[in-house]
Amino acid sequence: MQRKFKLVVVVILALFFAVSLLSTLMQAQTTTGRIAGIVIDKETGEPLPGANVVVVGTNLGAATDLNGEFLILNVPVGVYTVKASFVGYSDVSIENIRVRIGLTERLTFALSSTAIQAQAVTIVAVRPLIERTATNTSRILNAEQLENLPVRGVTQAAVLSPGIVLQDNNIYIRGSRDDEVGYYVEGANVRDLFDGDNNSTIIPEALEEIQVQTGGYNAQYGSATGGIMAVALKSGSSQYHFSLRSETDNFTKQNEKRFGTYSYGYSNSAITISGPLPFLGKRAKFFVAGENRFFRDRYRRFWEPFKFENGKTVLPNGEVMYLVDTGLRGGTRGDTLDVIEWKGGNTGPGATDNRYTGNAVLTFDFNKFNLRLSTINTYRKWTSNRLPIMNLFNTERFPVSEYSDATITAKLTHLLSPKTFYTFSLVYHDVRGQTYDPFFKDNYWIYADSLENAKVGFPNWESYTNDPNNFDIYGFPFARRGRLSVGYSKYKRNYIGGNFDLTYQFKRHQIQLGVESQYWTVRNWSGLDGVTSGGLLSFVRSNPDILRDKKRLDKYFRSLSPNNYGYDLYGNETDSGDFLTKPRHPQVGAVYIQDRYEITDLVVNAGIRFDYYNADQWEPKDYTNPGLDIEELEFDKSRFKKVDPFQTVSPRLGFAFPVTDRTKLHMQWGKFVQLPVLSRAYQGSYTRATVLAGGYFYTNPVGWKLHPERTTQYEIGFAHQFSMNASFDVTLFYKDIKDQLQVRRIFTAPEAGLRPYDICQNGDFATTKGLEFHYTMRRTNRVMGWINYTFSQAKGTGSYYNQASASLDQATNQITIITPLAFNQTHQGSISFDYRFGKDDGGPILERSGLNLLFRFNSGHPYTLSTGGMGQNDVSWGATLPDQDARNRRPLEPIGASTTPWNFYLDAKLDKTVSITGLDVNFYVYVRNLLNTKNVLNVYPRTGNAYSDGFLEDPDLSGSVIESAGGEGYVVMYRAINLENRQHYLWQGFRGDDLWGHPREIRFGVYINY
Amino acid sequence: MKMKPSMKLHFTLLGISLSVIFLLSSCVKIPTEAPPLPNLKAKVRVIHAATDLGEVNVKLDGRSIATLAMESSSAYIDLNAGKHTFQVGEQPVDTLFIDTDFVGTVYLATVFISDGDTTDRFIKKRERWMFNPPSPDTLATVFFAQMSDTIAYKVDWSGDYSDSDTSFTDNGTLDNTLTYTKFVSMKIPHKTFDVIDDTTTKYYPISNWTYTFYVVAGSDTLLTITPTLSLGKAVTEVLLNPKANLTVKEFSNE
Repeated sequence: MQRKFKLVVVVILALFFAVSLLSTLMQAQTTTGRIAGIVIDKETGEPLPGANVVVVGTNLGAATDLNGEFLILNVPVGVYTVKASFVGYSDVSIENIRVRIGLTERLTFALSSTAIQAQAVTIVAVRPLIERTATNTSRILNAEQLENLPVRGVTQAAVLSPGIVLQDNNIYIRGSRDDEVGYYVEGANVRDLFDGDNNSTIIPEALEEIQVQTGGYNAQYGSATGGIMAVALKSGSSQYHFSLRSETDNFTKQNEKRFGTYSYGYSNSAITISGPLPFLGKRAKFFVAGENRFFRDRYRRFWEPFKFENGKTVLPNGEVMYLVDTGLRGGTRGDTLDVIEWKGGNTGPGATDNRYTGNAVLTFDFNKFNLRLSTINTYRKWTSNRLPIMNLFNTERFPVSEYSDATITAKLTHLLSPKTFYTFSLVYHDVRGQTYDPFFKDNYWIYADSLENAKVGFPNWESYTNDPNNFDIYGFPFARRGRLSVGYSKYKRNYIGGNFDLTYQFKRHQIQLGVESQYWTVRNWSGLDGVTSGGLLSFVRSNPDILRDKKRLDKYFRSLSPNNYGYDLYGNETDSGDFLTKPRHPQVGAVYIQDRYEITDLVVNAGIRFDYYNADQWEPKDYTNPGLDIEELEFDKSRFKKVDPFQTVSPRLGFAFPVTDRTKLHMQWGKFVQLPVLSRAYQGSYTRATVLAGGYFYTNPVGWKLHPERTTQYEIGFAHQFSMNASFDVTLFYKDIKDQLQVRRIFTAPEAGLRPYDICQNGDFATTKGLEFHYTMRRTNRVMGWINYTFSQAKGTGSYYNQASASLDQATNQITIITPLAFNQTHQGSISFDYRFGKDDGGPILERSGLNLLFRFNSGHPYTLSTGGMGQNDVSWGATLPDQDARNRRPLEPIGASTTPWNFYLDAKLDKTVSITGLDVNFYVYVRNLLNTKNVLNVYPRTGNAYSDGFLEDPDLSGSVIESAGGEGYVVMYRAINLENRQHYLWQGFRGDDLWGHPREIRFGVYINY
Repeated sequence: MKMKPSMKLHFTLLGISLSVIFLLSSCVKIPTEAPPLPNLKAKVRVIHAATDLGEVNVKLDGRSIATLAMESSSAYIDLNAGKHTFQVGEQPVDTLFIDTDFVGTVYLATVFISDGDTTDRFIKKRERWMFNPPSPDTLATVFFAQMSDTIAYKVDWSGDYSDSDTSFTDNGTLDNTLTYTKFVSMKIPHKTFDVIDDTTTKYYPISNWTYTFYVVAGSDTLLTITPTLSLGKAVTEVLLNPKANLTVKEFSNE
């Protein structure tokens, strides 16, 4: 039996190992730290050479040198007990030593002679409140710190750190753009080279720690100029552990108000299992975590109810409302709706979000060899209903999106000697997704086939290939049942990478040499015009012979402007194709050396990094004539050349001056480079061709040749622990950012036969400066807390790459002046207060209970008061002035001169732990936005507020529109649909997610940890 | 609490199995192949209505499909929508565009020359769309006139139709003033004759009545036609020959 079990275990392990290794090659950075210190004779103070120091529960250890000093390298992050022993002396153990990513924990062991003290001594370490050896600003959060906060999610907690702005769900670090943040998990780079997103989900229970570096960082980190978020996952321990968490906000029915808010159908369940692998002693351990998170309403917005009844609702002017289709949007004139009722509260159907996450770590420790395998997997499926009011009568058909990511890392560490080790890592990283109609998925041919639609329950199509037209009620388009809203699109991106890293301790120097590489494959198929409108099917029905004439069919498909690379025109995955439609293979490589010189009162951290970027780009030899055959929509390859790879060198230098055990100064300077997000470089040949051939104003142009963006960062910081339990630090920073992306207009040569066109290129620049303040108080008399504050001034030539596109279209010059960036929050911060009763404290009711309050604030962000007419707006949009198409917008003041209002949030968590049959069970409730504050995130540029867009108040703007759209009925609907429920804002190209922040959310949960 | 060894193993297996299962199944299944091209089909038959031709061999895209005598019909043939060639004997090839989902008849007709123009010998006429068969309680009649002279038509019926039309009479002209005769469809009990076009596919419910159609020239009734109508059945009436010897041939539609 035992042999059988062994076999099963071996097979499973082999499978795990094989999957990890066969599918990988990678890039991993350090997720380890160091333990250093000295062993002395307690009585004499003399150093004890040859003493043994071991990290209990691991194979890590060292012997002290002639000076009694020791150094243990490559200690995985976590909490340890370290024991020192020496012949003739009693052992001394120090517990609760937390090792952090890239940092050194300093210990002093004072051993007593056995003649004086016969028994071993155990000391519980008190964690220092300042990182004495850090040469930059580094904030570290671990699972225990997250546990009490009224938030769920690692990133949500990390963004509370000073220097980070979370705006419209984008993360900005010290004034850098949102695509300039680097993300590492288990040493693997999980930043998507394509769009800069974080392609990983960390289950909070699986987190060992997250390190947020908002300032400069070591040479081992690259491909990000803004900042770094590095995550280490928990490892299994020598004991078996199990935890289960479940939380929900299902305290009431949908749309039913209770506790002053609504349920959003939220539930979250997480499970972890960890421990040693049987039969392998302490050498192999595992940690597995899984999580499912579900939202019925993933938007969680403020909604206001309204109800209009046909022939009953009386307008302010005494007229009665008639909800009759005018037919102006192609629908059947005279069709009547009995009632248009918006219940508010919840978004309604089409807003679900279901996510599964898995994090797993398997470690093998064979003395000098250590193998660590990890996987981080996410699968997410969600539906989209951004305009729920417009979809009140079309409630069964919403776009479905699926997404997954997988990061598999295998990292081998070999300890060559106590002072030398190397790591070799392999990584496979995969991210992919698709968006589709729920009934027809990838079969785009039948999206607009009325017969196929009839089969799935929508027999009401206008014609063979035309879906039901919108109702037009007082100028507002309400979708008829079965109306299509999405086409099919898909993408795949992955990389295989490798990393070799050699660390050598030479006297006081820790020298780290590393080389890394990533080889990406990027594929995309999207943007086929005419699929949802029925144009594609209509055309081939009228020209059926084209299906048997590939050349003609290809040409027709090219005219549909598909954005395809790595897939052919029709969506077949392929590795061949035109030079612009093959899969893209960007390659990233780096070599770095980092020298960390560390003595008691000085740490010097010097590094230099050489980066190699081959973005797999092609550029025309002559931009003014890119060789486009307008008839065939194909580019002449002979007029293109491959863009040469880029090489950059980025030196970094940091100093830390641990003046005393409680005071530290640090300075950091460094240069950082990253490849721009490749979504701005890659576009299918035919999308480019149709845009150029059509001479369209295209708000999201891509570039031909994008080179790396560069940032120089400076910071100086001071940290001081002014009591046993409190400390603060202050950091001043300055950043000089160059070569961010911008839009440039290319004026074409006459022989090109093209109108001027826009491209994306490097050119924007920004400077940011500011101050970060952090105060922390560890638990004292039941109370602990912290205060984070950031003052920031970020100015640049563009807040996002296409900010100036409309200006260029109006023939203005390239912008060269810097103005406040739209994501700059001059003042922002958070305050956490935690009051907690420990064991045997507070009596039976309050024992092991706690209250946590989190106060978040910011002073708003810049915007520009503007004016303009209706432009190309639909009557139902009023005269909004969207960001994405500013051709109709004129500023009334310098760019970014105004600021949105301050935001304040108060979150709270109340919890109580009880013991049930020997298990500790924690019950809790937490509330986000406890006061239900309607925070203004964004404003209408015409009025500067979030409540009135200035349209109805201005007869010159709205007079004729109101008259043509039904008079007072239009006005009443405009107020209900747009001003109170901002459908026009959500509809149009505004960068803001919404005008208002999220409403109060109440979640109940239980957590069992064994 | 101390854990039993068997529990440890179960925990371990569970944990590792979970991770392996998740690892292997968590990626979105992105199709690597495009959906198949649509298979756009049509159906035609050939009716020999050319009074100037005897028995002929009819070729479709160069392939013989039937040998037809005058007033006879081929079976319905499935084919891809698109352009197809029709030919009889050594006659020139006619190219016809058969619409997607077309179900109908290609008539082999006598070519009447007018003003020196020529026209095709093969004339297509849609009877319905492939996806829209007559429901059991609907029917239609299609008239095709293959005559050399202009004849007025008259339709008359009587009965107790539900919309209170107890009788209806309409007049029109079946002519060949251009180069060949026209089609007319009668959608009983619709009120008017209706030239079938590609956007009209409606059929109407009827009761099981007998309808009589009159073909008249001036005050002379040249022919009376009583289609063999039944529920769910559509027929085609082909008028042949000049008025002196006008005849009618009925074909059942699919």
